[in-house]
Amino acid sequence: MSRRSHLTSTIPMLAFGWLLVTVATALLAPWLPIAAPDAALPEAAWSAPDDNFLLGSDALGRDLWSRILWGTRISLACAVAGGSAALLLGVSWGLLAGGGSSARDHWMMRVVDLLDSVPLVFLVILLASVARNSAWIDAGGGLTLFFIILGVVYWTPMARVVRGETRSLIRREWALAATALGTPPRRLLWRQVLPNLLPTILVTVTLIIPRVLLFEAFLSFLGLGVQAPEVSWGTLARDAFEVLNPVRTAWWMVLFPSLALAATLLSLNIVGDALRTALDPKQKR
Amino acid sequence: MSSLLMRRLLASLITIWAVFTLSFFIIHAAPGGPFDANRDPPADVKRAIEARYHLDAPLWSQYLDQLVGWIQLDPGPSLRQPDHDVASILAAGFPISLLLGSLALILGTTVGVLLGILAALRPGGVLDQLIVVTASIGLALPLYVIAGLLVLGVSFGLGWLPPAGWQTIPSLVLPVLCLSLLPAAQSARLIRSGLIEMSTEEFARTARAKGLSPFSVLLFHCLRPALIPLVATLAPTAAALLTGSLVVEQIFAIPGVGMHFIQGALNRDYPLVLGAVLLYTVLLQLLSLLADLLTWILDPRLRGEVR
Repeated sequence: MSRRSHLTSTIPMLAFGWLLVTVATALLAPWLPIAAPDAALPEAAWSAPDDNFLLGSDALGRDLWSRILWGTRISLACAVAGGSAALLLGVSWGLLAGGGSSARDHWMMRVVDLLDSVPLVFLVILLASVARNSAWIDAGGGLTLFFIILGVVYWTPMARVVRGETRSLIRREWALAATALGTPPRRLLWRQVLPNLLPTILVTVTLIIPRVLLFEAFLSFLGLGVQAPEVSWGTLARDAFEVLNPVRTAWWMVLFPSLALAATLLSLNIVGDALRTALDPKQKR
Repeated sequence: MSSLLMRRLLASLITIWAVFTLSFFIIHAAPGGPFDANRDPPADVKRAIEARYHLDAPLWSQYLDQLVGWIQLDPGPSLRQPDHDVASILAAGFPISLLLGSLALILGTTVGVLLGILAALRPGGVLDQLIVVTASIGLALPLYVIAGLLVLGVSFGLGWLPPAGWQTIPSLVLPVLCLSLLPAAQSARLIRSGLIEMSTEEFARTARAKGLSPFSVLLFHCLRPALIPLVATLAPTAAALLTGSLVVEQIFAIPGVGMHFIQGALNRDYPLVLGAVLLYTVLLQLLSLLADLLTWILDPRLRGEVR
């Protein structure tokens, strides 16, 4: 298969289309012709999917379809937060470590090693529990804190990849030639090495973003991530499992938020794979 | 070897100490105390409570107190369940989680290795593609999605298995199955790619040239080196199992360490949360140590390098 056909074949295109729709939904949610996500109709609680409620309603009679669309916003915002931390912090950290003296490289990478050896997931749960119900969280700082946490957890893989690539690029002939011609090291790094790293960076971001989404869903599912009244796909699943029992099976509350998340995660993985195959000439198959 | 082992042990101890210290200061940096959610108790009652739990001591002495307490495996009482101390709560949950986790690890790895071998028998074949696609889907989806669909279908739809609990064997099936998906998918992938890579090596070609069947070359010559990456990823797999157990114990109402951990985190029961975090950290360090030792046993090439 030619390199281009990896990108344009049907399944990656479908996945990409789904991602576009998801992003558009997240941006346009306030203007879509749907019920307000927190509009409760107690008399219409527990409706199965029908004409009034496209995907059913929850225990308070809130429209699940609208809540899923609104949930897209926060779930994707988390992905953006994690992705941009990886881009800003991870890329600059890796570039500075890989392009600096070996002493600087050593201590910068020790910091990354230390962070990776600590079980961050558990510390994050501890942090989330400590932050619960504090005045700052009540004032709306919860989401900000959550975004910062996602950023802190997920920048290290990027730093590793960028550092490795930088070290190998900086030994190439063209880099030596640029140095010999008098290019200052900083200019060499940011203007000449960095553009060469772009494919690697792009592929790494597509690997990191699904992990951030998974982590958001995981924490919110446990009740330690996004807090009501904010809605994300993880909190919707939590709501569903809280009322899951054999007497009244609100299957739509479990199924649809899970499908939304699953489709998005699979699409991200497929698009990421396609990008990796298209951008990496060394890929074997 | 022994000096290497000592260095690894020291590094583990430092990591555990760092996690303890970091956790301690995260907890104490928090605005407000654990009793804020209740109506304010009278001042003298509050003082008595604080004295009972040593919350009135200076920070450094609380730190030393707790550090010594944890080293002696006596972390003191829980803040929310005053009749129980943290050690006994964790000790009650640990066997349950251990049973769940080890069953899932054994089942997942066994199934994964078998599937990996099946896939590598004919790379690119229908079976191979099916296994690869299933494994990628398994790795991409969050555990609660899979668990939720299984509960809906198998427990509520078909009524075959109980949707919660852990004390009977049928009720263990679904939790173990859910938790084993991740190690299964991961090991199937690793074994498949390892076997395919090894079968292009010269030793494999020689074995085939001597007339051995491709199947026995794969099984008796290629499998052992292909197992090394599997063992090397034991520690990350165990970490994934631990986080997975948080979700699974929550969904199936299993009173293991994970459930106490999350309940503690939701109630701000700090000693309990700290205990669970430390327990997980120690467990992970032990497992990564074990993984290093196993790699060393499996890979004779490493033995020459290490004195």
